[in-house]
Amino acid sequence: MLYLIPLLLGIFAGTLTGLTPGIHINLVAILTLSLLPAIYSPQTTNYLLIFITAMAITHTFLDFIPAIFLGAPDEDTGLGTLPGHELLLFGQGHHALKLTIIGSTIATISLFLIVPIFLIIIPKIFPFLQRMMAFILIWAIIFLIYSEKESKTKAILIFILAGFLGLATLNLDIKQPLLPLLTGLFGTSTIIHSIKSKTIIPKQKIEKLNINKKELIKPTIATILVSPICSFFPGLGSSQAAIIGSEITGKLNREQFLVLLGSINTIVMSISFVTLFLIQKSRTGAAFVISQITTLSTTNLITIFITIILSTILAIPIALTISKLIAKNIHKIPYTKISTTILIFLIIIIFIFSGILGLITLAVATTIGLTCIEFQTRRSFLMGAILIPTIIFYLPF
Amino acid sequence: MKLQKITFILSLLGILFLIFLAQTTKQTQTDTIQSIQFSDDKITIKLENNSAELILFDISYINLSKGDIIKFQGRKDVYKNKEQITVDKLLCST
Repeated sequence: MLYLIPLLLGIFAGTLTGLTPGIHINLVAILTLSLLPAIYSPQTTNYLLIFITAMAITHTFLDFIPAIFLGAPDEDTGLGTLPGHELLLFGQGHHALKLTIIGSTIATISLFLIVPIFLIIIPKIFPFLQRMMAFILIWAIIFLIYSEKESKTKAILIFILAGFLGLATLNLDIKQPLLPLLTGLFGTSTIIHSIKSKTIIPKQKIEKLNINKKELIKPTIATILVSPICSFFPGLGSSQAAIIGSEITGKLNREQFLVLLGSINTIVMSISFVTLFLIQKSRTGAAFVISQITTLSTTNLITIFITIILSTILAIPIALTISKLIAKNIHKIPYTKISTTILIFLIIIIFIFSGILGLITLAVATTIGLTCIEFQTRRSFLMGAILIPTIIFYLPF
Repeated sequence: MKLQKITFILSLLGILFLIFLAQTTKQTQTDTIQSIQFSDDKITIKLENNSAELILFDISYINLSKGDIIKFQGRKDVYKNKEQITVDKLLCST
């Protein structure tokens, strides 16, 4: 019974954060961290672990809802906006959401295949990977630029701009620098763009999903192959992993790509707890908060796995119900008003956490995000803001 | 096309402004070393008048000892529920 309370609270919190556009789980992690001194004690450690895991996993099931229905993604769901929004404009937003949920469910199942391999191999190869970190990240960037179908010059330009922004922001005397940085690059820029576009949403169809099981093989293989990439290399998130995964397995159609995005989003979050256990590195905000609470033991890890399974089981019907409700009513809601409210909300949050300097950073990051949208370049190049400072940090000279 | 150019120029100007801010808004603090601890990948310095510890990464040795007065610039952070300052610039004033 005592286990259920933090689990249900975590699922409730994850539902709220997942549904709130522009709110990344890292922001929630920061909020949780600021509350930690008030709620932490050695007796509450286990409950906090359950709460944070349930919140994080539920979040990955629900954060595609604002990305698909409002065109307001965070950096993990950014790539999902385009195919998801396309389906929404065809009246198939709920269909798009179902595909990402299938992906997230595949991720939870795949986890039990991946983790035993991780437990054996990673402690042995991590020291080598750490020495090679900067070079592997440089290779990943070259790969991403090479795979860019539109203008490669524009992609490089956006990547470098974001990189300089990241370096400047991380050198500012500012609290929570990643908050205005990532919100501007991925959140507010998209919202402003969607306000400007005056999108009209058609009435949505609620139909039974017909997907050939064979079509799920490619995204599943891609998930298993690329999950270690973003679990061990800082700065490479779900979006980058999805691009690398789709390049490895060959061309994916729109439906398969949405399944892949959903599955990578959830697996990156789940594996970050294993990474924390094995090499004491936190690759997600949720893992970072856990690293601040305790050093993970095997028992803690088992608790986390059980929480992941239970959260998955409960998050699926929650996400489907909410998506269906939104799909039935979205054409009635004044889209611009919602977007404007969210924009104001994000500005207030950033002012509270990061002050005036945070607002200045937000403005510059939003401008770069808008430049990326205007250039029609893949949004994942904006991750230069994290990747360039990370590469500089890891370079051995 | 016009909007592309405007956002691009604004981005460049914004970054330059942030770089300028990063160079000018950092505060230099002065304190006395209470203790200094060397480990494989970092140096930890406890200060007499500041509860936060100073953390220096990627330096294996510095010629500092207890009682030295130092000037430093860095970012305040919380790690394992403890306040710390990751040092960007460090100067010994005695």
